[in-house]
Amino acid sequence: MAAAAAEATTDGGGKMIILISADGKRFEVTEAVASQSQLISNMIEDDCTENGVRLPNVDGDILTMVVDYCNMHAGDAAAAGDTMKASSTEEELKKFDAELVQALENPVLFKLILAANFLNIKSLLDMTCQRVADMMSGKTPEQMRETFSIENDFTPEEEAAIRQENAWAFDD
Amino acid sequence: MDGTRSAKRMKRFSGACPCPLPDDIVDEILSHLPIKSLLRFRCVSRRFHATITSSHLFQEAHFLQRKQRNKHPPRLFIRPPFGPRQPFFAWQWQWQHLIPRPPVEEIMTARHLPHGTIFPLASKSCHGLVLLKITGHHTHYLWNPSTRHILRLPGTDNTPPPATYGLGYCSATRRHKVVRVVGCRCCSPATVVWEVLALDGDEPSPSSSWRPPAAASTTPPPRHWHYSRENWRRGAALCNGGDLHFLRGDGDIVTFNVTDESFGVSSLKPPPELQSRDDFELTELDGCLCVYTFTDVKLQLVDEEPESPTCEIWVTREAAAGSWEKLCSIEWVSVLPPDHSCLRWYWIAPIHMFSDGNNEEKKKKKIMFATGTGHVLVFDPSVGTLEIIFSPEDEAVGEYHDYSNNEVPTLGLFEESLALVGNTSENIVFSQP
Repeated sequence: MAAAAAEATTDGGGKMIILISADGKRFEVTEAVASQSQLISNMIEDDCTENGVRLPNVDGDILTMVVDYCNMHAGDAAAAGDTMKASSTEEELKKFDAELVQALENPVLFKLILAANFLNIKSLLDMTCQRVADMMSGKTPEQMRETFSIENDFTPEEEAAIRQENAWAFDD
Repeated sequence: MDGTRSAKRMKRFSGACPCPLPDDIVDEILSHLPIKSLLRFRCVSRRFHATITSSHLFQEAHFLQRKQRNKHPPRLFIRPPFGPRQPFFAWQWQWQHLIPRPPVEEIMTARHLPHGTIFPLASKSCHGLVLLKITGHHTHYLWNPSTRHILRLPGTDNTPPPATYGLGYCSATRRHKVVRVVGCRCCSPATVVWEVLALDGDEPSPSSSWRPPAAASTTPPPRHWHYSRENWRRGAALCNGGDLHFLRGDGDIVTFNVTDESFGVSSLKPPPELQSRDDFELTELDGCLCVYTFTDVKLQLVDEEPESPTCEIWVTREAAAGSWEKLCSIEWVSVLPPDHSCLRWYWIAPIHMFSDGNNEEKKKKKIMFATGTGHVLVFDPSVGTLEIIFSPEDEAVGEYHDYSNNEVPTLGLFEESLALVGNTSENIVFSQP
């Protein structure tokens, strides 16, 4: 059935591809949508998407978001030559991106980042990393360690010395 | 490392859950952060410290990421021309009127600056760093407005010969280089010596010293350097891509390649219309080498019969070919708002050209000007209007005394960069040079 679906075509004539998440959820997308992922784009070139693309390290929930993102941004590349069209949808895309990541808790956001990295979707990786950076920019080193589960391997004296070097950065 | 400390570290490590993201993704996130956050996060862990402080690869990635994000609007550093003890401020222009106007931020207090009237030698940072000089002294400093670090350059004495400095960036080694041409004013035409100071960002050492350019033997430098009158405008070379352009006293432009330290095959002539004049300067707009004519607006606007000061801007897309194209000619009197006609700018220099998104056409792009009084203006060539977007008085960055120092530049644009200028503690000079 997967093979049959993979052969199907949309109204636009684009070939369809099946993406299969770690928990077995299936997503049918056009080649144009899927090839925003450099990983899948390479697979399409190598002709190995016939039986669907298994993504063993991406959960269905996360893949839902990735597919939504790719569907929304599919027009991007196509419209790049047409500046009028690109500028008219730019605001919508920004709004969509913001809403996609706005409500996400860190564990989910991190999974989305890992998926974007694995699938090699640069714009999604940039957007999600920027979101985490925006949330972290005002935080203390302690909060940073906590968020990323990083162990403080400085002695108190060493840490104090480093803080002293750029004391202004610790002002509010 | 002693045994107690290792044991302590081992103990603290135990029980920690692993970081949810691999190091390369954490670095990717870090590259999206502003400098202030990164300087704070240097004390998160040894790995963070090493990445932020000394990984040139990370610093380059961060530079490009932040440059992309800060393209519009640009960030300005400003030292109000109200006397020698003024601090440096930073300010970011928001051209979209819906976004609230950000306040100015004090980035260098007078206490953290060397004594004297210190001023930037260029109106734009080169890959994040700015060359500073003190009026009346031949001491030069390298300054990073983002990290607020300042370094005194070596090799200056009390009676140095006149020198023109330039700050360039070598993208191959990801290092800055300072280049200077030192000449003897007594000889006519002057004999000159070219020298390079390569900044090793990893281990800034006091031993870094001036040396001859690496390619000096293969491409002989111009043998004679014509000095014109003492003039800050000729005090620094222009950094454009991987090249430094030196404006020689006779009006020719000598190009020095920062990477291989060689000179351009021949010097570049200014546009024919300007060749008989000496009132023009170099700048970079939209990534291209430009020349513009400067005018002493102060005298002409205050006096009764102005001789209609004009700023002509010429641009070259291909410097090697030596072809110039006139970008615009601005007659100040016709574009000045009537109530600002008494502004004593002293000098006006174009520092930035940008499109506000509506018009990408080159000749329709807006041009930002800096002035000797610390005002920032934006000229819109499509409608021929001039807007004052920043004035020191309005921003309350200093009390008005007089504009006695307005002959030197007081502001410029800067890019966010983690580039080290050197050892911060030992090399900072707060005392009288």
